[in-house]
Amino acid sequence: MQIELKNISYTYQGPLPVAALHNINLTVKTGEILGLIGHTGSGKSTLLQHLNGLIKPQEGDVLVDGLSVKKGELPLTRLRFRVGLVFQYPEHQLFEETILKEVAFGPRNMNLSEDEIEKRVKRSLIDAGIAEDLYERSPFELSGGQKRRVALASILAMEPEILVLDEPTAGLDPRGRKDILNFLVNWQNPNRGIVLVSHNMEEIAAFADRIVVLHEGTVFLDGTPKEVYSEAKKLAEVGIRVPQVSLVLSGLQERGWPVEKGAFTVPEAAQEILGALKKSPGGERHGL
Amino acid sequence: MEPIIKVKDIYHQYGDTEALRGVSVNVYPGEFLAVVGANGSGKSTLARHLNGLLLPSSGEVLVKNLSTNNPDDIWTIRAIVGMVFQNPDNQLVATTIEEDVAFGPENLGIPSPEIRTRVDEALKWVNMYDYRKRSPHQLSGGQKQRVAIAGILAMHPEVLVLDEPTAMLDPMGRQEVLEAITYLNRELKMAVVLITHHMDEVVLADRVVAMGEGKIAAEGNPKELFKNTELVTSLGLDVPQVFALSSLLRENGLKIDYAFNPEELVNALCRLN
Repeated sequence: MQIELKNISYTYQGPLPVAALHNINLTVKTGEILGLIGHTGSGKSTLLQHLNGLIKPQEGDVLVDGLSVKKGELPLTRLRFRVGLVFQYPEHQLFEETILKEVAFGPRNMNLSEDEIEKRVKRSLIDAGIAEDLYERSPFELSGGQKRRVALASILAMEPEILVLDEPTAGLDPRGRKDILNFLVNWQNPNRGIVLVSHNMEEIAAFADRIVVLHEGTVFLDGTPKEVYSEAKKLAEVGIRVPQVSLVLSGLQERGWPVEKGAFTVPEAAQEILGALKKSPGGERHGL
Repeated sequence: MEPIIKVKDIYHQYGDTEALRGVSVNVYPGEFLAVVGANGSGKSTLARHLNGLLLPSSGEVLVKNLSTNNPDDIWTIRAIVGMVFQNPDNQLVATTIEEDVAFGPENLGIPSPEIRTRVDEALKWVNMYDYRKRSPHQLSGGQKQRVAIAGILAMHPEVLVLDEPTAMLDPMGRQEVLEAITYLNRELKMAVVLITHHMDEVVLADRVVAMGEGKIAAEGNPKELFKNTELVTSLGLDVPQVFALSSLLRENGLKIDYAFNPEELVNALCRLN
């Protein structure tokens, strides 16, 4: 599956119109984890809602496997099953009496058999890490982290091809964050794609295949994590910091060390630094 | 030094779960104490005991030697220990920022001219004075959270307890709030208790308490805690990235100190020969 945003611009109408997106060109596809970075107000949420037809294109078009959303060439309800959106505040998305009903809501709307619904509900609850003794509880009695998992399960149960997650780990402890991210990496495969919105640069660095930086409604950078994070100065101009280890490497490079700036996980950075030390004979280290 | 808050062997029961199981800890004047722990480790429950929002099932919390178990002292205690929560939207009530900040001191029965002084002063401390005439809903998350902090400061507490104040903020908002907290602690010598999931915030503290399963699992300065990778991992916590990198390099035989920030590590590496 491939979703192409073509020259998308969007303005919220009202007494004071607010321009949210300006001429966005971007392709999202299965087989890839795309990290989306941008400040509050950069147009992220507006962009996400274009991906599954929650917002219809005002200017430009959204093409899903070549079919135009604007011209109505594909049914939007079907698109919403195929592209699952998990919002940042799960409270905004939960509404049923019990967790089981909550998670069954999506598949039930897809006209599946009861057997199939039950199977999907159970599987997605297990995948999202919800303990069985909670199934009959109200989603509103849960902790923030558990609510987030239920919201995720309810989207997984529709078996989307592309999963869009807005800050899926905000407010979770480090173990909870790792659990969710590891699950997502395992879930993703050549026929499934993920769009991950996060403020956590380390998280994005470790999981994304590709990074898009949004700034004031435009695509500011689009590339591999190595490419994007080696633009530390450019990112700083728009108030986005790079992962801490990238700062160490660019600091060393400025002081003359032969290290590559792009490395971004802790073990990779250690390799770079140790490699540079091995290469340097005795005390002669580039400008030191 | 005499502690401002003494937590003495407290237990707390929520229904059939025991959230705290024998916790003792002191909070000293002017210190910056971080409290960390996985979800469900009891850290928020502990925080809510510090000003009597929750009462221990057994044990005792003393604030300047007043017990939170004594209902007559609870308002005095809450004037000494101020509390800020995760979601600023639930904490702001008035139509303008300055009215919001004045809300607390008004309730304490402070005379009007004094309130004016306190509100202006508190808004300056958190760098929000220029916004005083605005409405809370025009603010970003970080700004709202700083206004919520100012509202507590206007009551002149001696200890500021913050329960995951940055969890819902974007990186800029987080930075602003952390700068405000650091200023209050370093410049105004206010005691700060920061409950957080962000290990890079722990680095700012003088002392850290790590909670696990309702008990204190470790206590010390942040560097000492993070050196014990095994313990940190077993508590479901994390090590800040630069610290992890400096540990890994040490394991590979480099003679450098543990480092918390990028600059520190770059300097240490450049000093190697």
